This record gives sequence, structure tokens and C-alpha cells, in this order.
Amino acid sequence: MQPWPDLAKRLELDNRGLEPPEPMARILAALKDLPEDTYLLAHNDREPMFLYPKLKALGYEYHAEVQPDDSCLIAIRKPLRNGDPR
Amino acid sequence: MILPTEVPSNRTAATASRYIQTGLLFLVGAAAVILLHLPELMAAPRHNPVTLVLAHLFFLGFGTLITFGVLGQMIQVITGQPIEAGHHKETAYALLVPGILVQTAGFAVWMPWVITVGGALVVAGTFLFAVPFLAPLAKHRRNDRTALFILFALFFLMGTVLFGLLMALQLEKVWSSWLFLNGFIAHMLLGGLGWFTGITIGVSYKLIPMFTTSANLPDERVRRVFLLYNGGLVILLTGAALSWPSVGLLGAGGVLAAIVLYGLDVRTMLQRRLRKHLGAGMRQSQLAVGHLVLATLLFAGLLAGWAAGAPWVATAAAQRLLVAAGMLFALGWIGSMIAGMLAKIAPMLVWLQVYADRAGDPNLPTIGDMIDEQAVGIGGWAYQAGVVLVAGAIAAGSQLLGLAGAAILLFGVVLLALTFFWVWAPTDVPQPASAPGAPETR
Repeated sequence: MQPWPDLAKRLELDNRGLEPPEPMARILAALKDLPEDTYLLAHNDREPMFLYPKLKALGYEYHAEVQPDDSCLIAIRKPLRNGDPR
Repeated sequence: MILPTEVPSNRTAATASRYIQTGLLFLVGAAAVILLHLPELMAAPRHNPVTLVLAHLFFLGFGTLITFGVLGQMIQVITGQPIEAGHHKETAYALLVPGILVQTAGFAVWMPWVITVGGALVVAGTFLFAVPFLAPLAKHRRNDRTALFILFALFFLMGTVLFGLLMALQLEKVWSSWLFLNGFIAHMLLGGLGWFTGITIGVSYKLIPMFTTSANLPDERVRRVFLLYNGGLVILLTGAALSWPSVGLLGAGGVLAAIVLYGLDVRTMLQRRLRKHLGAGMRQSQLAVGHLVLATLLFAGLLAGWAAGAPWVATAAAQRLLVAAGMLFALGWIGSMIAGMLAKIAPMLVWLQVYADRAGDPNLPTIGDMIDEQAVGIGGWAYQAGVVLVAGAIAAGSQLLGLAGAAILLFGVVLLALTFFWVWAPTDVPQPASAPGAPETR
């Protein structure tokens, strides 16, 4: 399992309790205004399987981890243009 | 501009929509057959052409096509695993739909070679659709019980259509006395319990929590039902195939216990939901489980009477009860569950297919905007009333009541189908400034 990235600069989005595809819609909407050096940390009830191909197609980097209660934390950010400082 | 349906990743969603829409048309056809041919359906012997037409329109045309549509598009969401399958969905569709039509036409005019040709197309389409799923599902079987449920169900489905084709091949000349004696019961058990009930139980452990915003049940609960259900079914099939009644009864006991536990699990999932408002679709799904439990108890009672050698089992009333239980199982359990889930799945599919690329645009409709909840409610209640009246009329031997029930059922089915079709209807949504003038297509 890959280690979690440094999420010091992050925007949190709690999507628990929302019916699909609302979590995906909220994440995609939030990404539009996300600054380049900031992560979007979303907490969903389950793994957003339909979101992953969208993120790949849009060029975002993400790291997801299923929690013991089956919910899922996903950290997403735009790829940095000039190298990766992490 | 590239229209949403022309984006390669959306092609699978378009195919899924086609399966679902065609399945809905078959449901309307099945409901019309019930209304137009109720006397034949109530007459003995019941293994007649009209019953066969109805069974194949409903189970293959409606149930299987819609299940394939949902499975093909949502397998990753249902199992939570990165499963890539269903590469031949479009070819399978092109084989299945004419196959079902030819087969049912063959039953209607009773031409065995036509039934066989249709059956061969159905077998080819089913295998083409199902086989690519087997290896990926087997690979993820340890991570997800639903994957295991679907894997077993697909095997049972392939067995169902193969048995059907083999039986069609001996409609003119019996070449296997074993098949003649046991084929029909094996075909029904494989299809009704192995395929439909198996996949529906497995998938609902994921979809009910998803659509009611409830937590998933612990894996042990799902595994317990999986083992009891599929183990019981395999034993039941063995007992039926070898004509060992005691083995068959043992297996039936396992299936019955699994269904009761599943009913309790559904109740737990619904009790733990975060969102109290169930919605019209989920209410239908809830009622579907009630139909399943009722039908199972009726079947179990008849089976117990038969095992005990009770004379009442041979009466006309008991035979009518058997058909009524079959109606509750087919229309009540399978029909209500699929229709109920579609109220959630159809708008979700269309949203993903048409709007996902524009998420964040305030002009986009929400899922709630895309389906007429009130129409689903009215159609659903009419459907439920129709099912109960038709099953009750068959049990009581009342044609008048049956016709009233069949008319209400058809009304409910047509209203539900129109409501679901409306989800795919083009909508005028203002385009963002970067992509002016393009119409929304679904």
C-alpha cells in the first residue's frame, strides 16, 4: 500500500450519507476550483469506482484508501507542472 | 464539440441503456400476455404454449436483459472491484434480442425448430455476455462476496439456457428420458433460484445500502447467506437430478433458511439507513422481499405436503396455489425488485452517460429531477395491486378477479415503463459557454 501524501494544504469534502452519483458530482465540481498545490480530501461511503477513470482522463493524481467501516478516503490533486515537492 | 454519447467511455453506458429499454418493452409484452391470455394461464395443464411465452418474455426478455444492462455498466460499483468485462455486450445484445423473439414466437405457434433456433441464439448471446465476466469475478471472489454471488449466478444462468436448448432439441423426438423427466425442474431451479434470486440477493447487499445510505452489513452475514443459499441450491439440484427426494428436501431447507436470513438482513439494512425517506423505487424493492418470503413459504408448504404424502397436494386448489406462488415469485419478487432498483439505476446511468463530464455546472439536473417519483409511486402501487390480485385470483380460481388484476398490472407496467423511458428523453439543459449550441443526447 502506498503511503498517504502530505495533506497539509487540503480542502475537505464529506460526502457520507449522500446518494450516488452526488458524491462524484460534488468531487468533480470541487476540483474545478482547486488550487494547484492543494489536495481535495473526500470522504465517501464507499469507493467511487466511476470516479477513478474520470480522474485519470482529467489528469488528476489520487490516492484512495478503504476504511475499516467500508467508507473511503480519497486525496486528489492536480499534477504539479514543475516537479513534485512531496 | 464531441457529444457525450460519442465519448468512448460512454459507449458502454449507451449499450447498458439499450439492454434496459428493451427489457422494459418485454415487460410490457409479458403484462399484455397476462391480460389477453389469462384463461389459458389459469387452465390445467399449465405447461402450455401461453405459459411458456409468458415465462420467456418475462424471465429472459425483461429480467435477464435488464440484469445484463445493469451488470455490464455497474459491475465495478456493485463489487467495489476494478473488474473489466463485458467486451462483447453489443454482439450479445444482437444475438439475445432476436433469439428471445424467435423463441417466444416458436412457443406461440408451437414450432419446435423455431424454438430451437431462438434457443441457440439465446445460448450464444448469454455465453458471449457472461463468459468474459467469469475470470475477473473469480479473481476478486475473496475480496467481495457479491462477486462470488454474481459468479455463481452466471454459472447457473449458463446452465439454465443450456438445459433449455437441450429440452428444445427433444421437443419433436425424446432422446433422453432423464432430460425428459428432470430437465424442466432443473431448468426452473437453475433459472429462478440460481440465476435470478442468486444474483438479486448478492447485488442487493450492495445496492440497498448504496441507495438507502445505510452501512454495508458485515461480511460474515453475506457469507452465511451465500453458503446456505448456493450450497442448498446445489444439494437441491443434485436431489432433483438423481430423483432423491430426501436430498432435495435437505437442499430446499438450506435455500429456505438462506431466504429467511436474507429477509432479516434486508430489514436490518433498512433499519440502519441514514436517510429516512425511502423513495418509491426502494419501497418496491422492500415489497419484493416480502413477495419472495411469501412465495417461498407457499412453495415450502406445498413441498412439505408432497414429502409427507398428504392427499391435499394433488387437489386442484393446491395446484392453483402452486401457480399463484409462481406468480408471486416472478412478478412479485423479481419484477418488483428490478423495477424498484431501476428507479434509482436508470437516472444514475443517464447522469453518468450524459452529464458526468459537466459536473459542477449549476444548470445540470439532479438525479431527483430526472425521474418522476410520483409516477414511479403510482405505477409501483398499481403493479403491486395487480400482482396480488392476479396471484389471489389464480389461487381462488376467479377469472373475473384475475382480469381486473391483470388490467391493473398492465396499467402499472406501462406507467413504470413510460416513466423510465422518460429518464432517457432529451432535455434542454443550457450548455456552458465553451460549448454552445450542442443538444443533450442520451
